[in-house]
Amino acid sequence: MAAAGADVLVTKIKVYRFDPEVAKAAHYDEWDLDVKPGQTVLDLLHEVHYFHDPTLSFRRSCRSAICGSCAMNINGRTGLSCNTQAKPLLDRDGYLIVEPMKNMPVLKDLVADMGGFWKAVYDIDPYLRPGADPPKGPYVVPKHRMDLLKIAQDCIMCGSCLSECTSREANPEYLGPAALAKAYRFVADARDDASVERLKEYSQPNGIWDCDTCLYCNEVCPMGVKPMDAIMYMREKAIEAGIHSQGSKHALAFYDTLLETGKLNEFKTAIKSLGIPGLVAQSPIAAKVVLHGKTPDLRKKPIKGMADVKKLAALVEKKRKGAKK
Amino acid sequence: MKYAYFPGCVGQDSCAELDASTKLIAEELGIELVELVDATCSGAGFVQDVNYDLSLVLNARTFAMAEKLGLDILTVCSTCQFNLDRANDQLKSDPAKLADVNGMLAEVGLRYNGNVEIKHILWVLVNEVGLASLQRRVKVDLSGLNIASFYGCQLIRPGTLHKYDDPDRPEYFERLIAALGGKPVDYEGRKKCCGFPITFVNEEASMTMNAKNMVEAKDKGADLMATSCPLCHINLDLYQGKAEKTAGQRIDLPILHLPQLVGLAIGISPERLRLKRHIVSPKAVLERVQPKEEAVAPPIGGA
Repeated sequence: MAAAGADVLVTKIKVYRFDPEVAKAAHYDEWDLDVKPGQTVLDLLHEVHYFHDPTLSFRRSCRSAICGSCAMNINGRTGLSCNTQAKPLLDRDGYLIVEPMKNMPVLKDLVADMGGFWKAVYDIDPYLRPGADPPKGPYVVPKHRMDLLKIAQDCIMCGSCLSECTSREANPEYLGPAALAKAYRFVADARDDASVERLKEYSQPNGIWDCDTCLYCNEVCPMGVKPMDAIMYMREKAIEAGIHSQGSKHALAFYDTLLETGKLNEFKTAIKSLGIPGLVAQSPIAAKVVLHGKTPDLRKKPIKGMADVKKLAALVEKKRKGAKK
Repeated sequence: MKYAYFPGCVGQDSCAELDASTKLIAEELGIELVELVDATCSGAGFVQDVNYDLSLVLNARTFAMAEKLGLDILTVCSTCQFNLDRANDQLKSDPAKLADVNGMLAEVGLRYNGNVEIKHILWVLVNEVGLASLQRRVKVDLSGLNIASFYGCQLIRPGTLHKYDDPDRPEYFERLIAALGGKPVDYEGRKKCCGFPITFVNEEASMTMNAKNMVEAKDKGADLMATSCPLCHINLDLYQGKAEKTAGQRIDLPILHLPQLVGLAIGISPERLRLKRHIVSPKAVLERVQPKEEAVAPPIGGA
């Protein structure tokens, strides 16, 4: 091993190990490595694999952040090991810990079982549904429709977003950010003619309305894809198409109170969103609210500038209608 | 220090104690607040779900009002912070959009030039009031308490939008807690989702996350939790009983709003901070704290 110089740092790398054929429980192994500036976490894993322990398993292929194979959890954040430099992390945290992706079972060491990831992608029907035969020449798509795809088209299916998704963590049935970003890819695609049917499917439980808007997906995507923005776009389109779901009911209830007073009316939103049976089910919560003097104001007064708010709402509506034509 | 104060809807309604405690600590700490009484709701993501364009115009209207006052905006809610920031970022980076929005604002006699910044009170306390100055004002000894922070997702992510904290290693809240004399609790859940946005859609999933974060904090020794978002507060406090059922265990973790924690430390009484409004009572925990020894004794005949 080379001696540590000014720009070479001898450090320990701690790696998650699991081999179901050897032991039921996982453990961590540590190796001393020289970390040179510019080295990626994948470089270090290769070094372990070549010189210390050939049994260490991990996925990788292109080493150029385009194949999406090497996503893993590095110092608590999921990302591609091939475009994550080790030294800045060491400088920040003083350690390096590499673990497999979360929200997926582990097959061996750093290799996660992506079966659930792919199942969700297939569940959204990731194939074009054109309404007519394809044109003889190329499809001509207006620029503003192409621009819509920017937030989703760079997805490399690495799984980083699903690994960090807090909604998926609590509910393994939730389709998750990557599959829904893929769904958006078709909803927003000018060549697809099934967007309303698609939005109906995606508005089912465990679809677009189950996103908790925690922003982890937008944050960790190594390609700058914005799955949460894609999900919010589909929600708006689903409401526009009049597709009913518990999620749309709640958003509309909230929205209606804004148009009445300029502010959220918590009381009315709860009543409209839950309905009478829902309110009965929530009666223990309601009782606590009343007992602690936290009852929200049912008859909220409109803000002074309410006339202006209504005027602006009408202007926006006019623009939206104009854009649709 | 003077700000256009954006109290948020929940902060003045079911969590009215947030607004009350914010005004109390602002007065103590010399932060002058000019309340934007005529501002609309930030949209909280729900209005954006229905009509993003309207949320953008209404938030621009709010910015224009602050700009007219020559003030930056202060928020006390992670959700308001994100939704205002997102709109502001779009208006500042897209001149065509700004022109389009200004075309509409002109109809109500307003214009936004893109000169307003939006800051959460957590950032203002750390960066502008200053931790050393806060430390000097501490009158109550919180050193016996392990205090867990709860940021609310939208105050730390995305890192590209919020310029202060590292989304992977947020520390503003921990630094504040330490300056106030408490012991910050190091736990992963502080960065995660409380579940509130989907409580009305998938209560089971919402309560699963809610419970997980609180149980983790308790396991790491938390006596108390403080949050920078009133929507998180609703799930953490009001729904804690439901979270306990989901977790199959008692949690019993009192949840304060960030300004209430600051207020307690600098000697504002629990009554004035309206701590009684919380569902999970902080009374037992607060009985353990005492005035600081070096504090000057109150004058004879009254405190």
